[in-house]
Amino acid sequence: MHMSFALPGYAELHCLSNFTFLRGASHPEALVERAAALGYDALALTDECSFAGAVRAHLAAKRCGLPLILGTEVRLDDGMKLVLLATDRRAYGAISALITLGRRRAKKGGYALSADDVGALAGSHALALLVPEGRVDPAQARWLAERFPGNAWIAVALHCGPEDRAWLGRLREIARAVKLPLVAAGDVHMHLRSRRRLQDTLTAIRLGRPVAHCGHALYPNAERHLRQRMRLAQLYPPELLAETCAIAERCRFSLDALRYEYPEELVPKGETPASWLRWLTAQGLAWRFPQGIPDKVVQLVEHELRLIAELGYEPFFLTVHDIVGFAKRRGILCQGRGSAANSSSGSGSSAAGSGLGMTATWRLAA
Amino acid sequence: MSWAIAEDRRVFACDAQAESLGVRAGMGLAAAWALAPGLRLRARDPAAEQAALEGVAAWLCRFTPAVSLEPPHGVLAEVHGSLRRFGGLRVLAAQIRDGVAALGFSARLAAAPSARGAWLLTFAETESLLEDVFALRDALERLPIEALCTSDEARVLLSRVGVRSVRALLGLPRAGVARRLGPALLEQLDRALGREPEPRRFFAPPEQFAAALELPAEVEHAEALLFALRRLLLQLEGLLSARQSGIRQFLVVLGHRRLAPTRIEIGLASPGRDAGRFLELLRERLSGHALAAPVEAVRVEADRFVPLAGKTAGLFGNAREDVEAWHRLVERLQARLGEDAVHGLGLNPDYRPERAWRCRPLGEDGPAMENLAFGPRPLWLVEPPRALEERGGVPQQNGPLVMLAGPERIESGWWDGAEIKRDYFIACSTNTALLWIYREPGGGWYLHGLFA
Amino acid sequence: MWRGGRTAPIAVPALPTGFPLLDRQLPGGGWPSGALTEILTALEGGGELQLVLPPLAFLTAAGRRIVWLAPPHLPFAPALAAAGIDLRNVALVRPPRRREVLWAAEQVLRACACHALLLWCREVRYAELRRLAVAADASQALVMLFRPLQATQTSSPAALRLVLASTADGLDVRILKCRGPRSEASLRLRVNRPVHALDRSSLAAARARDPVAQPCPA
Repeated sequence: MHMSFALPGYAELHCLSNFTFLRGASHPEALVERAAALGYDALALTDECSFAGAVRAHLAAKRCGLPLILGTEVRLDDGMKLVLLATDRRAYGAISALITLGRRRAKKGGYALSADDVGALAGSHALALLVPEGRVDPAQARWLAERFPGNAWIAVALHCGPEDRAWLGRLREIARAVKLPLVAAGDVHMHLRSRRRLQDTLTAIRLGRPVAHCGHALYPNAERHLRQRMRLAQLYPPELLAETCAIAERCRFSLDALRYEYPEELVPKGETPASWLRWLTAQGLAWRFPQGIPDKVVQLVEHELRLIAELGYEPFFLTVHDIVGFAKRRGILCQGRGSAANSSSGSGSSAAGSGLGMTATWRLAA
Repeated sequence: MSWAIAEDRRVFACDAQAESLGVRAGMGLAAAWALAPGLRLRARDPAAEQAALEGVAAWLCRFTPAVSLEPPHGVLAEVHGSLRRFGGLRVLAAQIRDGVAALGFSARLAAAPSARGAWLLTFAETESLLEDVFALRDALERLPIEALCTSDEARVLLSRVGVRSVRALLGLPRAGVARRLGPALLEQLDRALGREPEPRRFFAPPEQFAAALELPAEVEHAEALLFALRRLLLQLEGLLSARQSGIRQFLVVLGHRRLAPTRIEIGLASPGRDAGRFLELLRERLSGHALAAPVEAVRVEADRFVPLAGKTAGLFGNAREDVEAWHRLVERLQARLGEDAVHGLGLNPDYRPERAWRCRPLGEDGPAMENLAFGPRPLWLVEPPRALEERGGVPQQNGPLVMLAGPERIESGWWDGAEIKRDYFIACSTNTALLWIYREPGGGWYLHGLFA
Repeated sequence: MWRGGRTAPIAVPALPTGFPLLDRQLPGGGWPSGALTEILTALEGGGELQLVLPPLAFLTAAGRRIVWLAPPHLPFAPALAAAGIDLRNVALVRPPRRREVLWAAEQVLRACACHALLLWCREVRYAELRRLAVAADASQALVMLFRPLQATQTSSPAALRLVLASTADGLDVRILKCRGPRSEASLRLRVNRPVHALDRSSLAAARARDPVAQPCPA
């Protein structure tokens, strides 16, 4: 029998950080660093209906040189559990919108999504993994296969349970019947096996019971961690591991691709944000200093406008201006706060800011 | 063996044996010994007498709540309201007579329409159970004057006048009697005849039970104790009946001369008050056990009464008897084999196999079993797990074991000091038995169950 | 001594065994109640529980009590529950001393308070078996006594005696004695084994693919 001595490639596609409150027991950075240390091809961070950990994971992944996939785990009204992965900017946007939709519908801390909501993702290049728990509903698998053709898998999580072999057999049958491929996924809740006690404690807190009274609500062992590839090779058939890398290959979205995109309506045709800001500031200053603008003020305004131009913050000021103007027209009391109002060495208000009429107090820095 | 109670160097009371030898109450001790050389004496213990009296009174409370004491040796029970329930005066009197005898006392019984009348009639020669006033008057008239007289002085006075019976007394003019002898005598008479009411303080049965009995001779065999204990248990039953209560446990204390007392706690599967049941349990507990030392006194204590209604005979038919029979069986088994030897089984949501089950007390009638999902589990658990031999890394049991399923990894219990980290396998040996075995991280193999 | 042959099957109230093959061979069509049944096995844990599970599940589910007396190991509650036994109606009696086992059995039967008694006893004398049989008769319960295989050498007043052996995929039952005509042949009964995904013929293949797993990391 031919034994391969090379460790198989593996990408973990189902992983929760502690941004999934009271379920994940590790920081996103720790997960990323560990995955890198284990030689994973990629790690997907899939917190529950949230991208909250994405930024930290992104920064850590850049430091470690590990490809990071963004995604989310959601449990639908009918009980179906899915992992959605972003392949590109569009998928990321669609998944974000889905998260927002779900969160808005429910009380703070919860979310509510239906199969139809997820179905709307279908054309957006998002990938979907069905995560069956305990029993598989062939109808769910069929639905997924129909809505996400070519973009759907059944996730197989093997954690040394009492009937792993039978479970795998059953999943194979269903996959064959509905023509969905299988992929290995870890349902990872912590980066190291030794975080197990913390993870149990989180469960106890979530249920409001002492750990000793949680019974079967705890996991029976500590397998839901980022496992060594050697171990995974023993537990999973090689094609399921290979499939994780195939999926990771398709997910090329990185947060670096994002930048601020302001609405175009803020700036009239023919103007740039910079020129428009300069014009508005000039108007405001003229109104403030009818007898003539002091030299000191002019110099300050120039300095600040240069700074703003360097950082590209024009749209931000314009946005705030737009909001304040709206409020004033409606008679709503408002005060511009933050960097717009106090950008002049921290004492007093910014010249540009006052020029725009944003603060009631104007005291120019000496 | 004849016995007498002594007080102030005189015989206060003696038993039939001594009486037959001529000993009488009031006799000096020297005279008594002359008549009965083997006479055994005990000092009079008024406190013990009072306790015994209260014990009888408590037992009587099962017939009526209106029981009062007539110290030093009398108890009065107002049973008018109970006559119908207990089948009439004669039947009731028979029950009382038998019951008091079973408690170990001999008594003179009388019944009358008035309390004082009944009391006086106990001094009559024959037992009287009278239900109407005229019969009462007749019976009272026949009484000797000693019964009524409260003081020697009055008796002497009356006898000097020639009044030897109550009838004669009744013949005397009232005013004269009152003037000569004081109002007390007339008052007694009036009360006895039912002319005047007699307020009495009713006895309240206590909320716990403690009664002791000194044995006439030291007892060396446990079974012989049962006779004495039976009396105490009957008393206990009476009290519980009176209070409409039952108990779940009681304490038997055996007093030894030189050793500390032996304490035996008997527990019941369900609350009860039947003396027969208590005695059965005691018999089982004592059977086959040798006593630490000869016993000279026994004591029974019980507190913590719980409400227990009377038996409704046969209302629920067989089902109720069936449950009763089951509880009795469990009690009997536990009394002989120990409480730990008999119990039920229950599930426990714990991943550690040795803790996935629990003992259930058999009285417990729990809700339906929750559906707890476990992997395939063996019908027999080998406790404690048995270490297996290993050859070349393969565990052995009548030959090398072949793994058919697994590993099922169970790592649990870090929170209570009984943490396990095991990989379980279903293995089969050459004689085809299916075994449940596990391996530990250090490498040892253990047998934990049999699928058969 | 019973003469086999053309005697009519005797009508005793019987509990279906759960194995139709066995039911057909037993007088009354099942386990006799109110009589002593002996089951002899080569080793404890050799399949005897699997044989008697069906009536136990049936009885407990119907609210009837069963008593286990002096079993060789602990009956494991999760497995019993999975097999359909309602644990609320199960009582376990484990006397600390061997000589009390038979006393306890008699007490249980005399009380007529349970519907099945399972009893394990290594050495029993004929006279004691006789008493047990009498008590069983009075109790109308299902009484099953499990003894080692050597007991086939001695006679017994039990109404039914079976010899049981465990095989690769089931149980081999041979009727030693029963009230009525009996077949000499062994009956092969199939039982549900937990390893349903695997059969013995592919055992070798399984071994090759799946060597003994690696130890848990420390």
